Formats: sequence, structure tokens, C-alpha cells
Amino acid sequence: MAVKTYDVIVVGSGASGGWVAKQLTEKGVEVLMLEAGPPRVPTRDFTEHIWPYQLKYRGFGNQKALLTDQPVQRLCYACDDYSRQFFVNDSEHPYTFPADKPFMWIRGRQVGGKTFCWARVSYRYSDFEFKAASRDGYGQDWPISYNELEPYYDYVERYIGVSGSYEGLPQLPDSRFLPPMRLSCGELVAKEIVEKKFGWKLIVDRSANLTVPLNGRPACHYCDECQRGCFTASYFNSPSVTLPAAARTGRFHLVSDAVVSHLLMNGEGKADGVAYIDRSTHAAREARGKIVVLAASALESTRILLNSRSRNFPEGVGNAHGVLGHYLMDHTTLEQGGGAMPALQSSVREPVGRPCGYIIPKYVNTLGPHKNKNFLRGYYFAGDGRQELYGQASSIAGFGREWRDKVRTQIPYSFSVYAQGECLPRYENYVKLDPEKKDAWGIPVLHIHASYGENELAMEKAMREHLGEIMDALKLENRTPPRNELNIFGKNIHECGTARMGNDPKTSVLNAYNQVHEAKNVFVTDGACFVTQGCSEPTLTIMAISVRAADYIADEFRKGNI
Amino acid sequence: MQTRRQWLMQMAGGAALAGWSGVDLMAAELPPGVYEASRDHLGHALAGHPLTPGGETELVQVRTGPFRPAFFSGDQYRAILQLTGIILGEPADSPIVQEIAEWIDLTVYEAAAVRTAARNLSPPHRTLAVHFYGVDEVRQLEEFDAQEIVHEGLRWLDTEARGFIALNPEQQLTLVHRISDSTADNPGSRLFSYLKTRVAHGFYTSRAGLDELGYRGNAFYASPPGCEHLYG
Repeated sequence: MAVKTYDVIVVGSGASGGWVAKQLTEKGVEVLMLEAGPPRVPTRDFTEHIWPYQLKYRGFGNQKALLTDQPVQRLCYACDDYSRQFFVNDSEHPYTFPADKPFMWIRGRQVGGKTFCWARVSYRYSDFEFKAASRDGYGQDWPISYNELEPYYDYVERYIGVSGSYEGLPQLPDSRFLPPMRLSCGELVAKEIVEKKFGWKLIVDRSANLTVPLNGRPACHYCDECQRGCFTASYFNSPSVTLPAAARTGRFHLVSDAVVSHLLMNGEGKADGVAYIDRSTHAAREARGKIVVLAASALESTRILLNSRSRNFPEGVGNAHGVLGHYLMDHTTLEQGGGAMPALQSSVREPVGRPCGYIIPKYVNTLGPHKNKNFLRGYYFAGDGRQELYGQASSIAGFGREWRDKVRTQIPYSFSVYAQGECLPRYENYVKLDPEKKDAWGIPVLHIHASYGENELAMEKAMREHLGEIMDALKLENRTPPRNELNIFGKNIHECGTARMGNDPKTSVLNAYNQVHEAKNVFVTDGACFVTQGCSEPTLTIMAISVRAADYIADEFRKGNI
Repeated sequence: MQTRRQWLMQMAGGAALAGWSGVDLMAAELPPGVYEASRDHLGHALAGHPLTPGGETELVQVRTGPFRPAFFSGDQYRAILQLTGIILGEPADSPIVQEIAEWIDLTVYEAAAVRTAARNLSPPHRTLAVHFYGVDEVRQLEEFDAQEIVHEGLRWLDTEARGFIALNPEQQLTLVHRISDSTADNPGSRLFSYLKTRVAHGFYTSRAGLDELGYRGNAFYASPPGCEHLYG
């Protein structure tokens, strides 16, 4: 039987792959999507309305299983009793790093990828990111500008729904917002103090949660546990937002449990398809397509390119100039700052369920007055203000009814603040194939070599100083100082770069349309394409870029140019 | 805050207005893993059917026979029930005390395996843990011996009291006062401190405990919660 050749093979079903599939199929292109993980079933796998007492471990986690099967994933706050099914088994999905350069790689393999458990924070990038090199001379500009991407941001936001407030900040352009969510009492107190004392804005997060119904999806009902799945599809995830749209066209074919190992390259330097392994049976299979789009997550897409070695591509596809795998970024964070707001201690319970917090947008090295020449680029502060649920119980003396009464009526109010900063793209931060280690499917794993440089450490100093000033200004008590060091590289799950865009094939892997310079029918649309990262979450930009790339693919495909 | 029922009714009534057209009928056309906002799914959760079989989530299993502790001996478990009852201020034979004591038994039983798993972390995974939590927390996980704490604590109580479970309630209370929030470092106060934390975790994750706190989460709100002083 002849093997079917699809128009486009999309590898990965998360934020990027979902958008590529939707755009292409709606423009008449037939798509085969390959997803490495299994399908999730809402009534079986979503735990958003499960109570802790319904769980064997009451929400504290099966620690033995977590330590044994998910020693990396367990470090992510969302990998717990309720949601660990959305994270990979680390014994099946190993990777390596030098002993002095720990890297935390959080991965979700399933239809929908990590969009089930992402934090939904959605900020546009601006030319402070796209043209950063022109501003301060470090690194390279993106081959696209904010103006070029703006219509795609508009388009994505109108479809997925992003709630937020219009602020008019040039360094954090406004989206097409749904109504904003609300600040908590502590955040309102902080807003007044921070804005007056420092002149920095404190606003509610911009989040891909629906505050009003949109495109057939009901508004959020604020149960506060988005990382456990969402029956009402009220936050963006690809299985309930973009993939259904693709499926309705009749031109979408989804094969799950298909672990792609490499591209099948022909003698003319083009891809004929991909080789994959059945996750369950480990049978080797192939899929044929006229175009291949990698949207498997930044590091997975790069791994596939690196592993696509042949006579014409001895170091992998897109690696003729040794750039592939380099310029890995993830945000730096300085975490755990906070303390109590005694004035807000109360005996009355406040509602719980707002799936967001606050943000103090980047104020340093922007157009505003605050400059710091000790480092390039900048950072933002974020966190939330909320009542303790019962964290105070162990520290309240006594026992019995009297103790319970105190726990019930003396409710401390906590305010947290952390900083998130830009990580410069540096050649020294890279991934490559580990020469020996293989995953459960016999595919070479990544060796990840990443650490923070002088700029990140200089920025940390400023973050720490200002974070302390904020805590002072708020007169927080029982303070938790921020950690002594920046978070582990990778911890923020915003890994980007390693197959960056650019106009020069010698210094970049992809062109301005996410097309591999040296293999015209191969595209990479996920975070691998990022040139810089700013200090903001990448997913919204990944989606906008994916739409732009998909539109280009559809046009070029129709014209017969690819 | 609305009740789940009110919310569901509102959803059903407002579906047309909200543009939520009830796509359930078409759900079968979608490939596995692709889904749309569904009244069926929400109804499933609201009706108290926790999860359909075959998933990876570990739920409390419904027990058919009487409870048999996995870790504690009969007398030890009776002491745990009594101590849990005293910490909570509830009778030792009340369902909430039993619920928590059963969970404590599970936790203590599995503590040895957890410690072994922590000690068996590969060097790279231990490195990650140290950078993530700090070395003290990692050592605590590797060294903390919950089984020893409860064994020695219960033995100490029995020595002090010549049989804790045989004491009358007043005598038990007097002894517990001696070890509660004590700065003295003896097996009894270590046991109390451990149990108090466990009881707090167990109780405030129970239905009764969450109700007592007035917890207002896992709820259904028509608009985003925020400062009620300002937003009302």
C-alpha cells in the first residue's frame, strides 16, 4: 500500500502546533499532527474539582513515586497529586547536564503538551525585545519588528481571550483585552504604596483566562486550579481551543503516542517526512509530508534537528554553521520574598479562586527615568496577596478546640513578591546530543549546558535591592527574604532559543518566517526560534509567531514555492 | 459565591446568550485528546463522580472491611487515635479522628520508603534538589525518620504513664499538656510536634476542616474574586 503523503506534518500539539494546525487546515492544507504523548480524557484526567480528601495522599503527593519516577518534574509546583499525570516520567525521558550547571527541564507530553498546566500569563513583547540589539548593542535583533507581529497578536488574542487592563506602557504593549480580573486587598494596598513611593505601576496580571464568554467557550468560574485541566475550556489550552477548530475542517489527522526521532531528508536537501517510534509498542514508523513543521517545544524541536544527521547534514539539519543548539535562554527569577501584612489579618474568609496575581511591569532601562548601567535589559516584579489557608496552624500554640478556634479566626495575610529578569542569549549556553545516553525509545538525549552570566548576576543585585525596598515600603512582617541565589536554569519553563531566527544563515538557523535556512520545507515555530526573551513569558509570542509562519507556509504552498 | 447547582443552572439557561451552543453532540467527531467546553464534563464533576477509571490519579479507595493499620500495632493505633482526638478536641472514635488517623498510618508506613527513595536519588537529581530546595531540606528528606519518632514517642508516653491508652481522659490530657509546644527535647514532645503538624494537614484537608475554615475556593463565581472591600 502506498504511504500517504500529507501536505504538512506538524510535530507537537501544544501552543505552537495547535495554532499551526488550525491556520493551515482552515486555509485548505491537509495536516498530520504527531504528538509524542497520549490523549487526555477530561472526565478521567482533569482534577480541577477534586477535593484533597478525595485523594489518597490528600494533596501532599505520593512522595515515593514522585522521587522515583519524577525526580525532576516534582520540582515544578504543578506536578503534584492532582496534576502529575500531565508531566513526563523522568526515567523514560532522561537528559544530562554538567555537575556544576544544573538544568531543570519540565516537560509535558500529551495531546495539548504543556498547555494543560501552563500559568496562562500572556504579555506581548515589544521592540524593546525585537530590536534590543539596536538599542544597546548586545547580540542580534529579531528579523521581525513589533509592527509586523502586532496583527498576529491581535488575531491570537481575539481567538483565545486574554484578560487585562489597558495601561499604555511602551515596554509592555496592551493586548486586545477581555475585562481584567481584580486585585486582592493586599495588592490594592501595595498598589497605592508602590505607585506613590516608587512611581512604578502595579497592575493585575494579564492572563489567558476568559472573564467573559468567547467563541463558544464559557467564562472562567474561578475555581483557581487551572493546572488540573478545565472542563469548561475557560483558559487557553490547545486541545479545547485550537485543535477542535482544526479538527472541524476535516483536514486534520492526529496521531498521538508518536515519538518523533528525526527528519527523513532526501538527496535534494529537503525533508520527505519524519521517523517516529510508537510510544507503547516501540515500533519504528515513518510519516511522509511535503513540509515539516517542528513545534515540539524549544529543546525537543532542536533535539530532532540535531538528531537528523545524514551525509548532507552531518551535524543535523540547520547546523551548517554550528549555531543550532546555541543561545539557550530561560528567565532568571529571584524568589520567595514576602511577609505578612498585619493590618489585613482578619477573622473573615475572603473568596479564593482568582487565577492570577499582580505584576509591577519592567521599569528599568525603558523610556522611563529609571536607568541602571550595571546591566543590560530589565526585570519585573510579581506575586500575590492572599490569606493563609491553614499554614499558620502548626505555629499557633496549643491544641484542641481552643487551638482550632485560633486557626479559624486569626487568619494571617501574606504578600509575596519575586523578580523575573531577562537572560541574555549567549553562545556558551547550548544543548547538544549526549554521545551515549538514550531515552526509552532509543533516541539520543540532550546534554544541556547552561548557566547565568555577568549580566544576569548584576541584574540580580538590582532585583534584590529593589525587592527589599518594596518589602520595606509595605512594612511586611515575619519576612521571608528572597533566596540567596537565582533559580535553577530552566525552572521557569520558559526555555527559548537554540534555533534562532535571523537574516544571516551564518548566525541563525531560521529565517524571518521560521523556515530553516538550509532546508526550505522545514519550519520551527516554537520557542526555539526566539532571538531574545525580554523578561516576559513567551507563550503569547510563540502563538503569534506560529500563526505568522503558518500563514506564510499556506501561501507559499499554494503558490508551489515550497 | 454560588452553589454548584446555581452555577450549573445559570450555565444551562445562559448557554445561548453566552454563545455556548452545547457542543456535546458533536464531541464524538473530535479525535481522542481533543475536547470542547462541555456541560457533560462539568455535570460529571458536579454530580460528585470524581473520575472515570483508567487514569493515573490516586484516589482514596472505598474500604469494605474494618480498618487495619499498615504500620501501627493495635495498641499503638489506639494511642494515635486518642492523641489525634486530643489535638483536635474530638472524641477518639469520631469519624473525623479516624479519617485523620488512617491517613497518619499511611504516611508513617510509607515514610521509610520515601526516605529510601530520597537517598537513592541519582547524583544529578540530588544536585537539582539541592539547588531547588537548599541542602538542609534535602538532608531532612534523607534523614527524617517518622517511624522512629512515633515509635520512640509512643514508648516514652507508655513509660511516663505506665500505658498511655489505659489512662483516663484527664490523665491523658495532663500528659499531653506536658509535651505540647514544649521546648524540652524528649521523644514525647517530638511526637507531639510531629502529630500536631500531621493532624493540621489532615484536618484542614478534610471536608469538615475546610468547612470550619470557611474556605471559599473550589467554588463557582460569576465574576472574578478580588478585594471585597473595594469591589463588593
